[in-house]
Amino acid sequence: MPLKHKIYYALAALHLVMVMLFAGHFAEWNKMNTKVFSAISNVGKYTGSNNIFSFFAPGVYDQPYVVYTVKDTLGTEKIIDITGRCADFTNRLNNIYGYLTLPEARSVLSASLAQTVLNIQPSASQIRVAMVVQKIPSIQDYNNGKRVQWQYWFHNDFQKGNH
Amino acid sequence: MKNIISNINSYFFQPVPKQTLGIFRILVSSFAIVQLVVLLPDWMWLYGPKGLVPWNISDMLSTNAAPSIANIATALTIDDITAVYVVTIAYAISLASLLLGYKTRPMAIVAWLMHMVINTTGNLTAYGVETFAHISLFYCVVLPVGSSLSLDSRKKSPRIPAYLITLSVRVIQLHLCIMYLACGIEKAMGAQWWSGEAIWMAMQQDQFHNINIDWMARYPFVPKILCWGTLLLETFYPIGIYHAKTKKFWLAGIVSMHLGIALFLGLHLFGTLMALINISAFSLHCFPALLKAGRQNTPASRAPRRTVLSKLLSGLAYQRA
Repeated sequence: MPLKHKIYYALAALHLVMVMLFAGHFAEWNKMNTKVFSAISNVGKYTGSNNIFSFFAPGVYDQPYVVYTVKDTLGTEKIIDITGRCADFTNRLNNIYGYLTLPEARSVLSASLAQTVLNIQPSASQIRVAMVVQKIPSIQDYNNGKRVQWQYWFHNDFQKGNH
Repeated sequence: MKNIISNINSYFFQPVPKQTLGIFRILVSSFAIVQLVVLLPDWMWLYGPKGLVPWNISDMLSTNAAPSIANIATALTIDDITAVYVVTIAYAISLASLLLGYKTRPMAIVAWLMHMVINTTGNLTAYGVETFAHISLFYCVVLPVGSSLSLDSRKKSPRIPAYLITLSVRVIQLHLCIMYLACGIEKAMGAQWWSGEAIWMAMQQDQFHNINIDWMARYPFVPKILCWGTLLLETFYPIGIYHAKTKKFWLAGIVSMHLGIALFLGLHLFGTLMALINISAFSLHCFPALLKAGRQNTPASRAPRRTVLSKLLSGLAYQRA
């Protein structure tokens, strides 16, 4: 086997080791902030080896959702839903809503979503972006009569041209 | 010990069908084209400068240093909207070329880069499907996926040694094994996956509530079996998919699981991509007869039949005359 091909084998092994390390939450071990870790992480971003695979793990959590209430200058209120035209739009929108659970992203992201809704509702002068969370009862609770509930989490109010 | 070394040797060096890589390329690029077409009606909402999350906001919240469409606009000194069109068209053309296997490697590089640029721009909207599309396109860049079932493979090109084809196929397969093992272990650490609540909770959520599963509350063993089945399929995937007696069952099981995710949780793109990656990586390993069936349909294998047929026809003509 030529040296070039031996290098290919070594690179493949290195790549798979990286996949294993990141899948094992390597990034969270001792909160590594070294230059070496940063370089490895950047390589991982390009090669796809820096992913963790925590799909629905260790459990399924409550689903966040956003309710937009717009008010025009006459004080008429309307609840708006953002809808897309493609089937996958909702999945992607829910992904954005997931970021609202992060306190550091909350204010800027809710302002941005408010702006988006105000753009599609030109008559609106005020908007309330309220985050609610869907609480699913356990099977046992469901059998005892408990049903799905929406629980209020937080809200932010915005006025047109004021954010 | 000798046995282990010989098994490792044969695993990494014994020839495997190179069509595996061709199938992988075709399925991944076909999927990416379908995904592009599906998302196109909302493209500007998802990736435009004034979309659902404007570029300045997504840049602010992003921890990703990869290039975005804004960087392309700056580099080419074009306006933002034109940059979105340029990137989208480049992505579409490169995927079509990758599908045909024409200029495979350069086109794979363009597709991989454009996919990364698009998803860095819309990083807040990207979920699991983009992770696996990115991984797959990266493999199309570095692995000889154009060596089979491609226009490039018709040309005289330097022959790729069989062991490099084997290495390439093994890298994709091992990536899947690591991924499923990690998924399985992480799920097994949660009580919901043992009690059956995970499936119940996921399917009751408004975002995934495609069908009514209230009846499951009366038969709690159903979500429990589904959860245990998922744990079994994922955690033991690296063993089950390679063991001669279980490999067909495991491939069928994991593909069914992903199609179930696509149908019942509404994650159509994610479920489909995962099913396709599994099929491309393991179908010829689990069902080698598929390859033989394919070979029997090549023009070369049809030739003798044609000769027999023509002899019969000429015989008939002679009899009629």
